[in-house]
Amino acid sequence: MSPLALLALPAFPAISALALIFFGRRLPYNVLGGIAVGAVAASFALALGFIPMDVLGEGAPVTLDLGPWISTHAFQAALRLRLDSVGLCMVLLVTFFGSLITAYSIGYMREDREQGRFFAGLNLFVASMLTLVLSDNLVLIFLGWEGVGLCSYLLIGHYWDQPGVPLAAFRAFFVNRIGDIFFLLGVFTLFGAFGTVSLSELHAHGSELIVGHEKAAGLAALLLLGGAFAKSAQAPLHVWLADAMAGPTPVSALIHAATMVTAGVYLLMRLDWLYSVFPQARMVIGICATTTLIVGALLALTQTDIKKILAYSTLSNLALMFLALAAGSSGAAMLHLFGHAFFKALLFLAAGSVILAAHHEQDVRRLQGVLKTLPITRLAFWVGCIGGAGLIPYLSAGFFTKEAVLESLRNSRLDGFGLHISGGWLYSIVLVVESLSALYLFRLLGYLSSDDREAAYAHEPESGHGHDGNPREKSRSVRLVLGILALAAPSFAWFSGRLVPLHWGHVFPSLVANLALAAGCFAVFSTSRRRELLFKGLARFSVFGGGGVGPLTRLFYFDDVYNALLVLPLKAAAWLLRLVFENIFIGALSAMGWIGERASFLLRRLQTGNVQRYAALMLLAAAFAAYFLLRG
Amino acid sequence: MTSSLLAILVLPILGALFFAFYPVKPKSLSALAAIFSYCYSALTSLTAILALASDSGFSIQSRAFHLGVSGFEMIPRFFLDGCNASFVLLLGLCPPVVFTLLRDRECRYGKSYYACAFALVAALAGVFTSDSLLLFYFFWEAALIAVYFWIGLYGKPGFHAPRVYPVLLRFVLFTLAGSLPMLVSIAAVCAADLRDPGLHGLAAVVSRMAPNVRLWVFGGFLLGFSVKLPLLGFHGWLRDTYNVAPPACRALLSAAMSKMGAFGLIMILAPSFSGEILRFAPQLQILAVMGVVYGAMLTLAQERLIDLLAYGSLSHLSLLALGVFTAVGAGDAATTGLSGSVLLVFNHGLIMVLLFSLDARVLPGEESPDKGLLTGLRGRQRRLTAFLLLAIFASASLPGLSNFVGEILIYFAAFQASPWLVFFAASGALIGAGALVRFFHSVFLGSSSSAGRSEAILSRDLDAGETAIALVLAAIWLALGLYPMLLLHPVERAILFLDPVGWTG
Repeated sequence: MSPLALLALPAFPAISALALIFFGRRLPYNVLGGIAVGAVAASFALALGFIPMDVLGEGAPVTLDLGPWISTHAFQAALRLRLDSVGLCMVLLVTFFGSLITAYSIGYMREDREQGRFFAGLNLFVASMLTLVLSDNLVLIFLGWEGVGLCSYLLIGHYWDQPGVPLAAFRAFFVNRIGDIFFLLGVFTLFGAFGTVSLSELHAHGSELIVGHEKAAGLAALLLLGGAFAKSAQAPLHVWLADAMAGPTPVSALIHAATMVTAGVYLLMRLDWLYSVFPQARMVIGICATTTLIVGALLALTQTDIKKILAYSTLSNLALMFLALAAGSSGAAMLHLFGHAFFKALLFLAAGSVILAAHHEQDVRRLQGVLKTLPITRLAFWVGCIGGAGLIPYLSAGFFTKEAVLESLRNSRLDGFGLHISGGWLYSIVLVVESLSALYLFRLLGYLSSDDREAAYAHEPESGHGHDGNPREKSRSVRLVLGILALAAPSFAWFSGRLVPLHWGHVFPSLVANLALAAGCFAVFSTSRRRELLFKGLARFSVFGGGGVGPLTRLFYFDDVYNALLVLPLKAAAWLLRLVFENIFIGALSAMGWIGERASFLLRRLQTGNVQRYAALMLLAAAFAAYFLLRG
Repeated sequence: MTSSLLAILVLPILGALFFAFYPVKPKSLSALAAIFSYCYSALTSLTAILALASDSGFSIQSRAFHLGVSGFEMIPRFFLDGCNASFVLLLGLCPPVVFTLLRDRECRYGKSYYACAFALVAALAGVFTSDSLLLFYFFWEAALIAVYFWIGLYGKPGFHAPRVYPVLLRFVLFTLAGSLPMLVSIAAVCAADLRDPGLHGLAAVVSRMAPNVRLWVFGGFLLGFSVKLPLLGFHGWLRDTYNVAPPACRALLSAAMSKMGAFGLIMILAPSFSGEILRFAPQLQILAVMGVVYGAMLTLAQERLIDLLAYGSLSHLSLLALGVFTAVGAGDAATTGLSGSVLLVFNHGLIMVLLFSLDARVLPGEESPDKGLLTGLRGRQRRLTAFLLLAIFASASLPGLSNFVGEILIYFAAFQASPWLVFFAASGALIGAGALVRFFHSVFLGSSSSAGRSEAILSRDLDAGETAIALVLAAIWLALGLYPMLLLHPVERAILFLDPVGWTG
């Protein structure tokens, strides 16, 4: 296949996006969706065509050089696309999930408005993500990086007239832009140290060029982390991801779970040579990721919004990928990125099916027992939860991938800033926190499979329900995609089992513990009586939200701290500048005008029109002049 | 090509005369102005693009004039090359946008409105193309006169300014306080050589001056350009003038007229006074960065779109100045910073002309939308909102849209001077962008049912013609954002002719 096909990969969805923006409102809905799916599927087919070209593994990468992109005397960034093993895996992931989720959206968005804009956004997202993955230099990556951010922003804001949605979109935009400042500074520092921003050149010669520039390179490594953390929602820049759930559910599945949020992981994978040199940077990754891991898992445990539970679980899983990177194992990070994409996309899409059937009800307490009449969604949920909790080897998409991360941690060690964290510690922390995933996923599943029929949705005689008033899976495309993914996730689990060696001795105890936790949690949450008992017991501890002041209900105070330290001071300073400084400044100018005016009124009195006075003044002046001239 | 360069200058003068004296029916005034601006735009854009594509540009020149007994020599010469072609291209693209989006359907404005507008365009064309300093100054003040009459005749009291005339007076005094010292500097330069050295000969004359004289000459020029741009501390006229000016005037003020200052910085100050800029580099750079942050901070505390745009403009133009101030003496990075500034001139102009036009287009009375009073406007004005958001993202320098390229090049040059400059400038840009997006959210998104005003008084959405012209701008942003070498390559080539790598004082 010609290298020009590389250009076609992002071009298909990009052109489709443009077409949908302009003609989206005039096209029939199915045509609209068909175009969107077709464009992404075409990219997927094209990407499949690269597999026989021996790109995977140690094969030679395919490159396409289109000359300079932004290039001056002193600064060069080439318009160069490159597809190597990692790139091809990412392209396949993005286009596979992209086409499936776009197809799912045809069913999901049927009753919605502004569908043209929605599908254009999805297409543009895929195009940007492919640009990000295919770019060979950091500046061009930034194009894709910001492109996916833009699409994320636009799609979060899809329900723009609902309360809270504009703010959620704004937070996603703003937090990502904060990361971008660090990203840009990092790129410049890197360019200053190495004289190039090309990833392949850096990868090939970075370890030699670094000699003499260690300090700058180390700084660049830290700065680029800022960008990666913002995009991949790692603490302390994770605050936007839960809000991002304000967007339509397919968007959450594609952008905020399977693909975009992994961009930070991808970036660090591309620069792994840099991070292998700087233990300090890996220390920072380790600390932030561990924090995110714990915060995400604990918050997932207490949320009641079905999508937010999954969002916080995404945080936690992204942290797992970063931990693998901190341990120096890009392979494990990549594997978990894939495993997570499979089970999380499945879970989100299943949640979307529930939400659709229950008329956009998202509170799990009002969704009890909803799965009873949704057979395919039920299957998908079970496969997704088992996959996410890593309960059954060769069936759980997340089992072997988590195992790979854990194994990489076991042999690692973090040093830096005078701290030392041994791999054993990290291993234990992750092992414990990951067992929480069994808890929060089966808590969710317990609610949805509960016996109680007190949920409000069940009794509303609306068009979406069957004759008995129960919710139904109406949409064919939703059922189809859920079915495909419910099959694909275990297949991936089977495949991943061939990549990761299984140490039964390490795995067995945690496996049994997780199974027990999952079963117990499901047993408690699937009946209201046991649930009430549990809540009564828990209410004694303020951490769990007694009185609404615990750290869990306040989301560990991250928002409060940002408000107190950043938002309020900034606003106060702005108003201070406006009211005091700007007004004094402009007031002083006006005062100067007034003084000038007054002064001219005073001076006017000299001009009386009295000829005698003029003559006297002239005489006086002439006398003065004569005196000074004649004096010397 | 020389004839088309002449036409760029003469056509708007003829236009101004036509609207001033020919008895046009009031009903057809706005349509005529639009048609005229389209013709002018086509001619100007084409000429500017040809100049960008050609190796050395082209010029027209009349015979030399000799004045008085001293034999003072002046050669009226106009030129168009890669450096100033982006200014001229910008100038050509602005009037159609203004006269389409702000077309006067209710016949509010008389003939003099259009006469002033085209006089301003003519003056700007003169400033951007004249090679003799005296002509440069002549057009510089002519622009001020045109704007004076435009605002004086058609300005309306604004939110911050209960009366038009004090504000106008302050604007004129401010500008004069800058331009009169500049005149003195020009006179000093001319006197030193007994002829008008022109922009291209200025550096040679200046280099022969005594250092302390050169410093004063430098100060005069800097003052003139700082007020016009404006830099921080010289922006006292900005907000209130934008408030009282008619919308079309403020769009041209921000998009094109402020670029007179940028032109001076890039084409006069940097090449001829590199030693002085280098001497005061830290102060000037800090002043520029403070301008970026100050303007951005003030956007946070504004409630009306027009004020946000005014201070956002201050912020962006300070960034442009930062590019110039860091480029000088930066060695290899010098062309990068200057090219970035030239690109920013063009892109900022195109973004501002659309933003200011859309701002006045939202409400029928050409008032600026207000944060507290309106919400959910997108429901009624989908296209307008879409283009507004696009322009906001362009001004936030989203990669893929053209503004990004100019900014990243400036950041690169600034980074060579000090990474902290980039950190603060980028943080300022972030705050400004955040304020603009937040404003957009509170006024255009959200539920429209809670709007303080009834929906009936909104303007209608953009029609086909207005959409078309906005699409042209969007296409330019996208094309130059995805393939910036289209503009960057010729601009950098022309700037290399100025030999900025050798500017080390």
